Amino acid sequence: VSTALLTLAVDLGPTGLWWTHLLVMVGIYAVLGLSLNLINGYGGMFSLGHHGLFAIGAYVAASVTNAGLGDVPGPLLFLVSAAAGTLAAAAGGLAIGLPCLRLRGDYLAVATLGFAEIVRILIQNLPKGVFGGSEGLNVPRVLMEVTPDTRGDFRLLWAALVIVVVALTALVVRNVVRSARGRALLAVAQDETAAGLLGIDVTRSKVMAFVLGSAGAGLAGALYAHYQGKLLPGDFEFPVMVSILLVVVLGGLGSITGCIVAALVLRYVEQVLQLQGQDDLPLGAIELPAAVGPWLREWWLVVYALILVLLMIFRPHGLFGSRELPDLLRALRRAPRAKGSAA
Amino acid sequence: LLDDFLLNGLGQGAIYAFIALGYTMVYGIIRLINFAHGEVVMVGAYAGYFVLEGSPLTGVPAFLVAILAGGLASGVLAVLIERLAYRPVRRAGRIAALMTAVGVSLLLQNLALRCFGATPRPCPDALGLGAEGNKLLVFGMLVALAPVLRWLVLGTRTGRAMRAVSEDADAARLMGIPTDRVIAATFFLGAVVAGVGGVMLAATYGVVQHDLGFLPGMKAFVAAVIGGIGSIPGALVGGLVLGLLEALLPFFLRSAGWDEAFAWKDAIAFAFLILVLVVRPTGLLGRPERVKV
Repeated sequence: VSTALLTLAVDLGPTGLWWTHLLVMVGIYAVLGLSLNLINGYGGMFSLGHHGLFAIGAYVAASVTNAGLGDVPGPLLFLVSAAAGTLAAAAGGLAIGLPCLRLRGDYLAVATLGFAEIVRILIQNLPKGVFGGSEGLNVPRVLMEVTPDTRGDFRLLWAALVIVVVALTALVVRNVVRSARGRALLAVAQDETAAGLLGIDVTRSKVMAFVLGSAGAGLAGALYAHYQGKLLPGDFEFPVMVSILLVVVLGGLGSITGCIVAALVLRYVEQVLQLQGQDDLPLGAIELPAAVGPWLREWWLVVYALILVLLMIFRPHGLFGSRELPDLLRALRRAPRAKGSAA
Repeated sequence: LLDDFLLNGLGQGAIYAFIALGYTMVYGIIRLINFAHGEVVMVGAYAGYFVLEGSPLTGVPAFLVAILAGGLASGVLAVLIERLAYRPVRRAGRIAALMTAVGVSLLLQNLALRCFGATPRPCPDALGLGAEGNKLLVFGMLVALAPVLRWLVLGTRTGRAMRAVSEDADAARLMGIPTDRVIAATFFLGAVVAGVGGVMLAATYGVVQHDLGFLPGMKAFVAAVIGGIGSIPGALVGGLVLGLLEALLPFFLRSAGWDEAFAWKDAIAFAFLILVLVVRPTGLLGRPERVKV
């Protein structure tokens, strides 16, 4: 059954295929980072369970797709499954958030990490018919068949889709933070006791941020499921959480553009490193010297962890802090003039 | 049959208690969840493994040297981590510190993966006790350790300084207590105990691998929370409670007709953590922390 919207059979070539794939991964991590930023950045909480919510979104979207296959038209099924994944993750966030958000920072971190572990064990241990167990779960292609001819179309469609989703997510986060509820959340993040004394419903603010953030993780999971076409429990282990955390920390706790830039930088580095030592790199992928490239590819995870530690020591608020890209550019432009007037 | 599970629970629980002690001591003194503690355990296990595998010693001397090497390696590593990574962020807030700890954990785990490889290595059983004997041994060691720890914390000058810093670090500094050194000593002591736990973990299960510390580390944290984090007797009690719970609950569930209960024991432990955190966040023996305005 071909459910393709249109078949252009665009030939992107290796360069185009590489860049579109990179863009999709950047988009998924940007959505994950933006949603975690709502919890860990703006909300001042510390969740280590985002990968569990990501998994819930992915597996629920995949299950819904499998269940509705054949009965529902492809694009509709895609939308319904994505909505189901998002809602399921939001419900998961509510289930863990309601009891645990009364806990202070570090307790919350461990409770959410425990929750994500439970999700992973659930996926792995439930009978194979439910989530595929350790053999993985296939996600049928409902937007477009992927054949050698339509690979370019598929990647282009996804790149466009992901850009739209990232833009919408960024918009939602921005509007939430600027709303009255969002300002209440920022106050809670600064000082819970003081915010509570001012009449802000502390628990409600935190639960709202947590559930919204969870929904974002679910949405990213649904995108991931449909793009990858196959889910494995190993895709949702703790290193994924660290990757998301690094996007948020590198970008700045409480910066939207920072998150997107950080996702771009981190995914680019990761994808480029995977190519090191090969011939014919796609255009725009930097080839490191032979002495460094393969070595860095081997030791990347060590270097990665080192970056996280050094970042926390030297710039604990991330590269951007809570500022946005336009603010930074303006500050950079103003800096020389300010120096001149001072002298 | 129940005896076997009881022994399993006590042995596993004693290992959790060994690891949980470090968590609880560090948390007690600087309010940091030392996320890298599980990796400190792993390094201790590797140190013990290299002694058992590489030295000409056999039997009891080999075991004693392995325990010593494991404890020392872990202790030195923990002091280094504290000095290089945690001290610079100590004033930057709890979330920055916690994130640093997550980074250190990932760093050590991947460093071990690159240096020692991904395949688990079989660890020799120096005393020839087998898994059962080692479980009994580790429980015995825990029983012997408890009064020593009690003396260290309640009866020595350093112990008194630790309690003072834990009560109020700034006041302790003003009273002339070298807080930095006391904090380093706490890391060292907690890690030595954890390193011994790591060697026993390797001896009991007969393998060492790069992520050997991650899950037991997390479970030990659960144990520390159950007992009341910050409380040393709490860590001992919490470790044993968690070990027994993990061994006995699936046993009863299986008797009740649920065949796969054992595959779910990790999930049971984490669900129990969430339950404890919700119902009694200060744990069995912990003191509630006052919120100051």
